[in-house]
Amino acid sequence: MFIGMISAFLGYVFADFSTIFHGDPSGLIPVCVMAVSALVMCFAGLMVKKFKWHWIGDYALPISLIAGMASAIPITAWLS
Amino acid sequence: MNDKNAYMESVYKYGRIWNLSVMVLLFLFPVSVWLIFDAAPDWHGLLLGLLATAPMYWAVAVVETFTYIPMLGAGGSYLSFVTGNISNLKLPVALNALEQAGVKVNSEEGEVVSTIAIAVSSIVTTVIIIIGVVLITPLTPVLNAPVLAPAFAQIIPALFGGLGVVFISKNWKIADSAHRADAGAVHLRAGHKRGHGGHHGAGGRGVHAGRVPVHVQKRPAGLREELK
Repeated sequence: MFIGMISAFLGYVFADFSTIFHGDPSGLIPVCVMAVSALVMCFAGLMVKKFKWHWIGDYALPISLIAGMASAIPITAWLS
Repeated sequence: MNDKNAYMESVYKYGRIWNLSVMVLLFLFPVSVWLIFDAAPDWHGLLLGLLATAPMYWAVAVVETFTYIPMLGAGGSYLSFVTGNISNLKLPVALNALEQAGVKVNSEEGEVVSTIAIAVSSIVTTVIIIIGVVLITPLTPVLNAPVLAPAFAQIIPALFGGLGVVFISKNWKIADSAHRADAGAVHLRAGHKRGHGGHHGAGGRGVHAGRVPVHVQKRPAGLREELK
């Protein structure tokens, strides 16, 4: 299931990555958005571990999703 | 017949009925438009258009069937293929529910949890769509705001960032071994004539990461000779 999930999503994220070799950094936008979302999820995991705020676990995915989408606005303005 | 088999039989039975019913319903819309407005399609143009586009969707359908069903379970798959939005909604919902419940999709509990999660997601989606339809006029300027367009264009990467952390942290040994095997293969393809084939992935031995054996493709005999 893990490999299937990775295959299903990573192709979409890295599909336009090669554009950076042609001088167009817009292919990095989904990669950066994914990184921001992953960082927020890591931060939520740290909060759960460090402060025992287990309620964050229930909301970590929507929070990281919204944070990633929000970060897409400045990242797109920067890279395109 | 035990309870599990009875349940699965009912899932298959009603899943087939509902999937076929929805297929008929979907076809009813263009047929209704045709009959009500007397607007028959140009059959020659329709056939040419289908020949150009339909084969692509056949391939997608086969790939999606084999990719999604092992992750969604039987009941979840029937529901997902009726309601749509699998990769961006139903799949993350099912995976997250399985994760929260601490069960695997191929277990009895996983089958039930996945089906309930996708059913609840479908109901919530339908309710939100109804609210959206009612509020479409006041919401249109907000949703079509150019400033929000990049956010809606990046839903999948934003989703995978969060989900990826959860699943990679749970399966980091598989991820690390796959990365090493891939790096070894790249190393080998790049023409490094080292006997060990780069990293330890390409030597034909199974790389055991914890309890999960990851077997890597053996080198062909011709390639072994070339490397000597």
